[in-house]
Amino acid sequence: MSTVSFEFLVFFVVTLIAYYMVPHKTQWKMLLAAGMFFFCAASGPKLFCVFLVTCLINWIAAGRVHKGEQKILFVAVLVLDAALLIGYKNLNFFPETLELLGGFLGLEVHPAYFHIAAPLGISYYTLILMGYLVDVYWGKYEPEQNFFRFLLFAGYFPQMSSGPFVKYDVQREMLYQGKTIDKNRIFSGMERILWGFFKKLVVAERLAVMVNQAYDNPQVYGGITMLFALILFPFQLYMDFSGAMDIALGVSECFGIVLPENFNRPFLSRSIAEFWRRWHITLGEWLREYVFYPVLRSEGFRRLKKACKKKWGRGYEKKFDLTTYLGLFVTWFLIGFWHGGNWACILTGSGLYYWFLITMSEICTPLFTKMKSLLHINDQSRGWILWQRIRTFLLFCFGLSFFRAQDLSLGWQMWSGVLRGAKLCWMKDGTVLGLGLDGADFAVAMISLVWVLVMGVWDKARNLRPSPEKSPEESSEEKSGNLRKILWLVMLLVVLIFGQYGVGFDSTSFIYQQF
Amino acid sequence: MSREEILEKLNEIFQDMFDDEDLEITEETVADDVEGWDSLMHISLIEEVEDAFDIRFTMVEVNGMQNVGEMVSIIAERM
Repeated sequence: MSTVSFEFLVFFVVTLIAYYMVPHKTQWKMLLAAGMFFFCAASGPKLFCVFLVTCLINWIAAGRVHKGEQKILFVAVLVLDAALLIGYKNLNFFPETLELLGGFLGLEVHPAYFHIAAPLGISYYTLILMGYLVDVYWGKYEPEQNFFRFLLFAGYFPQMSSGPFVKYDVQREMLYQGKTIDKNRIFSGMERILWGFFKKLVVAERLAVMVNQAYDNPQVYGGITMLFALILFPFQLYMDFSGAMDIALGVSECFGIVLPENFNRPFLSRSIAEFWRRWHITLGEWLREYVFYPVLRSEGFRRLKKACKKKWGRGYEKKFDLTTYLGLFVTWFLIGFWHGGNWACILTGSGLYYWFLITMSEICTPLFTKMKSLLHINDQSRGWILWQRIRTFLLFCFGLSFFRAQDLSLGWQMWSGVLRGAKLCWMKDGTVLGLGLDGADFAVAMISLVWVLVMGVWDKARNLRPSPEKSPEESSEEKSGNLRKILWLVMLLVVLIFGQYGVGFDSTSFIYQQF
Repeated sequence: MSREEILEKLNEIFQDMFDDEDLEITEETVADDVEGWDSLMHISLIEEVEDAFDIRFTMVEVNGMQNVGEMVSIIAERM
């Protein structure tokens, strides 16, 4: 059940009405029932059992490993979680690696690839469960005693298909607390859902037509048309993923449960490191807390650090922080692996390519500082900031093309296609319309894209909505603003008129739902 | 060791780590206030503080410290 489907809207409205009709102490049970229904509808009863048993094992283990007890059990359950995730989502990493190795050695290897149906959101709920188990083991909080409450934490339906990654200590109060109906909150949530629908159905779906056309026919397109399609994909992915987040956060807001933000205007980033602090924020936080920091704090890394200090002297890390770069390597390898489990993703798409860029940026910082000083570059000037943003975007765009291709050779084929006949006349002769959209749809896509980006830059989208920090008087005063009402009415009409939906239309699923 | 003395010693470590002799931290200082205090630098800073005060932070503390004041509180508690 896609969250942009009519079925989902009916499911959501029925659940919302029921949620506010039942007594406060029963509300969380209503959410649990809805979540289990949502899971069953999406994955079927067999895969639902996989989810249920995984939750049960983690819940039982958490009760026994609190504050560092039973380390073997703790490690065993973490390994089991990881094995389930790899088994369902990334198993083809192994045959692909065999095939690549065979190729290097000049051997003919044709291993069998796997096609396994995975439980809904396994990449998300597995990491959420692992994070919970680690926190309990570290003694951050007491384990949850009630299995069904725990099940709601792992299987809360708005976060199921695409995240965000949540933490038990942040969510528990909101999940189990009784809520009274609040019109402003529901209105605010609905606005956010509408914004998500706009991003997905009006913008992302149209951009997808052009991007798919180029990626499916790399031999047909070339030059600037190909470059245009390559540049469009980061925008398509942003509209798709942030749209999914808007819907998830908006739905959750209607239930009075605040989910963490996953984006913070990433295209304004001035460096790749900053970009990844603004893009898929909760995944970055998860990896930092449960992989990067623990790896750097591990005994092996501490020993290595001591050896480095002995060899290069105190303060060596300011020039070449070897252990941090190795820790980053592990982290970025895992990010790439999580995003696809294939070498295109691990090496370039969303993995080691970014490790290389961030590490080189760290190593070369003194050199860059000296060069800027020599060339009298003011790094706070508008021109320099603009250059940094464009450079960051293009670097991201290059890596992301391999993520979209999911194949190293296709990624290279796309970029080598750019070098074929680079002509600027496409703007006049309508070549770009050959990517599958007619003039009207192309105009809708571009105007909508620019509008979302401008709204993001000005942060108007959020300012139009009631802020939790504002007093009820301020919120209601703002809410009564005619401009705001008109804007959201226009938005609703735009989604209804220009949205890609309806009978016979098969909306592509959200890209991040695949992981 | 009083909180003021801990803060003074921490200030020296921060100045050394971030190569900034003019840096003055307070208990309210957060990572965003100090140029260069990012996730890459965090563990190196934590380990310098551990060595200087001869203590060891837990992973929950490493992940959860919200400002310098919390760091001071943990150090004061351990000494």
